[in-house]
Amino acid sequence: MTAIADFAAALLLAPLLPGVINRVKAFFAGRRGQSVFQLYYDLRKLLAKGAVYSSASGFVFRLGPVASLAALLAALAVMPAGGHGSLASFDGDIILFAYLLALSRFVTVLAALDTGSSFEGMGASREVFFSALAEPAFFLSLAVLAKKAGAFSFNLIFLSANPVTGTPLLLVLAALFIVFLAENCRIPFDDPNTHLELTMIHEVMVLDHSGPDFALISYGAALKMWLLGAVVVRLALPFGGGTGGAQSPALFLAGIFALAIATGIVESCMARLRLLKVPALLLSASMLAFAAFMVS
Amino acid sequence: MNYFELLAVIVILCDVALCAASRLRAMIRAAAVQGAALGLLAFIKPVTWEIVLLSAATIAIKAVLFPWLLNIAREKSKADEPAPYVGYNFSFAICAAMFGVSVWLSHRLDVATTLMAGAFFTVLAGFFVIVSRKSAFSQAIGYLVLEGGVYAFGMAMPNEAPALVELGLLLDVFMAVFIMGIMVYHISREFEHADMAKIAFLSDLEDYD
Repeated sequence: MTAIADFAAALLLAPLLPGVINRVKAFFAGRRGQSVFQLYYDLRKLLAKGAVYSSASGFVFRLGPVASLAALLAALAVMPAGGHGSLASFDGDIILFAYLLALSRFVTVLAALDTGSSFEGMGASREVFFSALAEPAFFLSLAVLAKKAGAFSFNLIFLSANPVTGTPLLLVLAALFIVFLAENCRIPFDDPNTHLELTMIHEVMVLDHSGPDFALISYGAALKMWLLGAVVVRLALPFGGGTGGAQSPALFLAGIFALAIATGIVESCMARLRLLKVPALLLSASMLAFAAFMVS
Repeated sequence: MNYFELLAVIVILCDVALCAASRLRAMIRAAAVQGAALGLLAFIKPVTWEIVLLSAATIAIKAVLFPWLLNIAREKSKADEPAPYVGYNFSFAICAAMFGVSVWLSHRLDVATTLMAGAFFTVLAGFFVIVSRKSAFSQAIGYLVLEGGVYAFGMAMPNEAPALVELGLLLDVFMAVFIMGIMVYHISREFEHADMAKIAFLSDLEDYD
C-alpha cells in the first residue's frame, strides 16, 4: 500500500522538479521566474493540442514517446522512489532498471532518427555517445551498492540500513550526481534552455515532436529526473529498514527537492562544458565509482 | 568516517586529476593538494614530535614550496604545454588499469589498505605522467608525484617506515635540484621551449626544431 502511495506521489510530483530548478535559477539571476507548476500547465496545454506528423516519419516516430514513457514507468516500479520499498522487486532488478532507462533513451533516439532530419541525427549521435560514457559510471556505482549490500535488488539494497558508508559513499554519491546531471541533460553537459544547434544534445532529438507526444516526452524527462534523483537521495539520506532510521516519505521528499535545488545552484554557477570536455567529466565519474568499488 | 581513508582517497583522486589534466596549472594544483594530503597522512602513526615535524616539512615542501616554484617557472616560460603522447581521455582508461594493478599489488603484499593501493597508484601515475607528457614541467611534476608515492608507501608500511621516509626526503631534495635546473635553463634561455620531444638532438649536430 505504501509502495503504491510512493508510486503515485512520484507520478504526481515529478513535474515539480524542473519547476523548482527553474525557480532556483531565476532566483540566482535576480528574476522572479516562472511558476513552480509551469510544467503542469505546459502538459495540460500540450495534451489538449493535436500532434503534427511529418510525411517522412513512420510508426517508430509515433511509438517513441509512448514506449519511452512506458519504460520509465516500469523503471519506477522497481525503484523505491519514496520513503518505502518499491512496487515490484526481484533479484537483479537493478540491472533491469538501468536497461529500462537505456530502452527509454533508445526509442527516443530511434524516433529522432526516424524523422530523417540530419539535425536530429546529430543530436541522437551525441546523446548515445554521452550516455555510453555515463553508463559505466552508473553501473559501477550500482556495483558498489550491490557489493556492499550483497543483493542485486534496489529494495534489498536500500532497505538494509545504510548499505554504503564513509569514503565509498562520498565517491559513489559524487559519481551518481554527475550521472544524474548528464542523464537529465542538465548544465555541465547540456543546457535545457538552449535551442542553439551547436550545443544541443537532448533537445535536438525531440524538436519534431508536438502536442501530446511532446507532453509525454516532457513528463518522461521529469520522471527520469525523479528516478535518478531517488537513487542519489536514498543513498545519501539515512533511510533504514530494520535497524535505525525512519522510513519517512517526508525525508525523501525533502531530499529530492534539496537535490533539485542543488541542481539549480550548479546550473546557476557553472557554464556548460565544452563538448570536448564532456567525455572527460563522465570518465572521471566512472573513475570515482571505480575507486569506490575498489575501496569498499 | 575514517579520515585516513578519506586522505588516501584524496591522494588517489589527485593522481587521476593529474593524469587527465591538460593544463600545467591544474597539474601543479593536483600535485599540491596531494602533497597536503600526504603531509596530513603522517598522523597515521602515533603522534610524536618527529611526526609533527615530518608532516609540517612535507606540507611546506610539497604543498607550498614546490607548487610555488613550479608556478614561477611556468609563468617564466612562454611555451604552451605540448600535446601529450597519450590522449587525455585515454589516460582515464590507463588510470583505471593502473589503479586495478595497484589494488592487486597491495593484496599480494598482504597490506591491503586503501593507502597501500594509493601508494602504488601514485608511483604508477607519476611514471605515467613522466612517459606520456612531453614538457619538462609535466615530467618534473610526474617525478614529484612519484616521490609522493614512495612517501605514501612508507606511511602505509606498518613498521619499516623511518628508512623509507628518509629515502623519500632524499628524493625530495633531488626534486628541488631538478626544478632549480629547469628554472636556470629557462632564465638563461638556453632553449625557447621545454618540449622534451624536440630536445632530442644536440643542437650542434642537427637543428632541433
